[in-house]
Amino acid sequence: MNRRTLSLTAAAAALAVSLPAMAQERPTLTVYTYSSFSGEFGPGATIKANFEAECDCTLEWVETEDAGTLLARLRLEGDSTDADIVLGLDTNLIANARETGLFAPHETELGELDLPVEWTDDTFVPFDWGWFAFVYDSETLGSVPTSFEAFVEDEDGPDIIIQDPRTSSPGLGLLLWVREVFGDDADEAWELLEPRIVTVTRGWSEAYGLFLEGETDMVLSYTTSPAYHIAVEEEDRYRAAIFEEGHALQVEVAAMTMATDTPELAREFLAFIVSDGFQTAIPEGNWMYPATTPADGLPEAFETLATPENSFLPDPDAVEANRSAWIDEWLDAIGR
Amino acid sequence: MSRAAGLVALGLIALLVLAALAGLVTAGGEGGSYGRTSYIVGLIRISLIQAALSAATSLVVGAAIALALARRTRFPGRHALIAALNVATVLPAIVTVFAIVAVFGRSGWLADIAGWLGIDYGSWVFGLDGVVIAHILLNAPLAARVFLAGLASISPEQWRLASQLGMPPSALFRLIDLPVLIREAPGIGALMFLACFTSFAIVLALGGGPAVSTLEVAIYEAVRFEADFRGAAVLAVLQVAVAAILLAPVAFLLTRRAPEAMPTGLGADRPDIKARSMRVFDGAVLVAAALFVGVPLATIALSGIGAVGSLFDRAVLEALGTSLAIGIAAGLLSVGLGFSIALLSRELRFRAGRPRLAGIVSLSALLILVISPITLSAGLFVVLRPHADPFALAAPLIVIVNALMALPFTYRHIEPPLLLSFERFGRLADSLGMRAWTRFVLTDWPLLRSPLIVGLTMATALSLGDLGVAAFFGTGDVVTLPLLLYSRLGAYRTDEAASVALLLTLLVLALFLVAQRWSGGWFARAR
Repeated sequence: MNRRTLSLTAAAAALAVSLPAMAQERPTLTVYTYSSFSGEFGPGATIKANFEAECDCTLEWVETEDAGTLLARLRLEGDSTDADIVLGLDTNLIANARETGLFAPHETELGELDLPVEWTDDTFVPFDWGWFAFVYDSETLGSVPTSFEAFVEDEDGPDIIIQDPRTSSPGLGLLLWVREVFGDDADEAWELLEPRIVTVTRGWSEAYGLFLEGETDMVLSYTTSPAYHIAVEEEDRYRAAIFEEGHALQVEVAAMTMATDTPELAREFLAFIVSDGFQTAIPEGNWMYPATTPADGLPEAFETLATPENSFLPDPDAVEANRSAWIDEWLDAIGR
Repeated sequence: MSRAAGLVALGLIALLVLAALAGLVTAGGEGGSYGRTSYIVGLIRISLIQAALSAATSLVVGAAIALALARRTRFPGRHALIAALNVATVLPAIVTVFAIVAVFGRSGWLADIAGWLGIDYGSWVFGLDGVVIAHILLNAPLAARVFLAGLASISPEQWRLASQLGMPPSALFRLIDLPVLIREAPGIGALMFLACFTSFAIVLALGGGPAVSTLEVAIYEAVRFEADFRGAAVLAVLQVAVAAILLAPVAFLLTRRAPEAMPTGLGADRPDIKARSMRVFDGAVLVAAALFVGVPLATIALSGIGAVGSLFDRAVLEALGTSLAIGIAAGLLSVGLGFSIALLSRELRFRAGRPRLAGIVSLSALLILVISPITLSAGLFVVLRPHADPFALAAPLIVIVNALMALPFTYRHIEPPLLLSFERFGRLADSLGMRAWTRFVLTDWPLLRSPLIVGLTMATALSLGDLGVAAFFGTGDVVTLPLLLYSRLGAYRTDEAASVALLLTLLVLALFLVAQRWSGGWFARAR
């Protein structure tokens, strides 16, 4: 009975693995990314088709849940990773990623980038970016704060749902944004905000979902989030609150691994990232700003979005050095 | 022979766990994750409070539901109610969160009703309250299932005797039902306590802030943000140690059982089914249970129906196939392991006269639950990867980790009937000199059949809803339904994600309906 159970299990497991792709003559470029990028509604399929049309190769997506898992998996695989490219880390993970020594310089001419900040990194190629912002429903929220300071100090201000900086990249982004705006008074700002924090979720998806369910006035997301609702749902009630102090940036990046067995192809892909074949898929696929604006410009929904005057890009090395201490302070300010 | 399989199963599990921990330790990290003592102590403290509250309330609610179902064996909708209760025990964490919020949240159904009545509702669901409610939804039906199986084993003689003595319902409860509930409570209570102790996505989403979180958060943080794999391993061991220390004193209770005499079933023998007070009590409990479980499930259906067209898609069908294959494989493995270990525990208890050792064996089958899945996944990945293609590894690893995570649940279903069959027929079988196989077919199988099927269904369903493990190993080829759900949520497709949640829920419902039929209507049977 028991032996039969086990052999059945083995058979079923073998079935589940099923036939991997048949051996191919064309070279394969293996790209690790997060699941909403390569998933059915993400830009992955378009990018794959566009790249394969010009590279005479096969692009294979390997997906993990999110950016954090992506890096963890890569670290566990180390030098023997199958990844040629890792796509989807963000600026807050760059220092961590660089420290692993698993990434190779891109040695690619990126041309002019359309980022609000200068980009000089020799390893990580930006593929899209966005400003963190609090998104609200203009049909239910009457008074919208126009500065971070006013937002924090108004006791009767809007409720928020945010992400946990211990588990989520936007959550960490907010921590750095508050630090940038309030400096040494960051803890005080958190203490003021605390009563209006409805909850702190594991990742962006839960938070945004709860916001759409109407559980909070505002949610930490991106200034580009309203574009989704405009373009797909033809719904313009969702807006991003713009704070006059400025907004923290998230830049999403890709890099090639040291371990790649097709460095030429990997470089070709990194160059392709900043071309129209990749970038046109970004705005309405990943709902972020493209790293270089495509020749045809941005989609209509993006043209109407509110944009901040000032941008902060937290210094990756400072993030890496202080992350743990800052999270502890955050916990002290709102956790107990 | 009946011991060998259990020893092999335990050995295999120990090997997997130790290998995973060793793998993580060698993967490096600075170990800083456990250096923040007051932080870690704080996490453990709130986890313990939350888990104790969740488990205790789930036990009480589960007992009330079980008693009502034991007395009311025929009423319209009983099958549907039991199916709904079963589905609730295996809902994926994220689906549970949204269902709870859709009912109890500030824009939920209750708030609508309150607003209609002119009552200010507020948003109280985020905090310890919400976490406990979500855990009751997941756990109370499970407790009810285990209690009901226990109540079904009360012999008709007892009821006849009680009836002749003219016992009032309160005495029946005290003298007959309560001992059964008390007998089952440690096992299922410990299981629920551990499940809530390590609960993660629910606690974070509904906890209302970092004041209510669990040690699992720190483990997750160590693996994903800090690449402190060594620290994660230490935290994982700490988590197991805390759970083991807490449960060790009750380990022997886990297998302590009153001797039984006669075949069983739920039925008309209970003298209290006609008492008016019991009618009122049962009616209230069943209506409340139906609402408590039914309304959240209805919200899943309602929010999923809008984009149901998005399910007719190749990606969804493939994910469905993958999830089913992985789920069934994990379910079978889990039942195989659970059966072997339960057999070992029984031998130790009755043949070797080592009840304490038997308790420890049972406890170890429970403690698997406390080994955080991300630790196990990451560790096994490190160990196995140099020897095999990670793409080929993904599916088997998901199967193994899911089977282990479901083991405590399958075990809880398998062990009681195995013990019972020995208590009833053990000596008789011995005196007749029955051989192992005959003995299994004649004495164990009739009692074991339904629990095995229910255990298999539950393990399969738990694996179907699993995200954590699948997300870590997921490759382009291995996309499961929960991963698909998350990838849709991550791409703003809330409605499309809700339809995947609906599909998952319907799939689990179908599994349980088939199981109920297959197992001869274990719950539903009215003798």
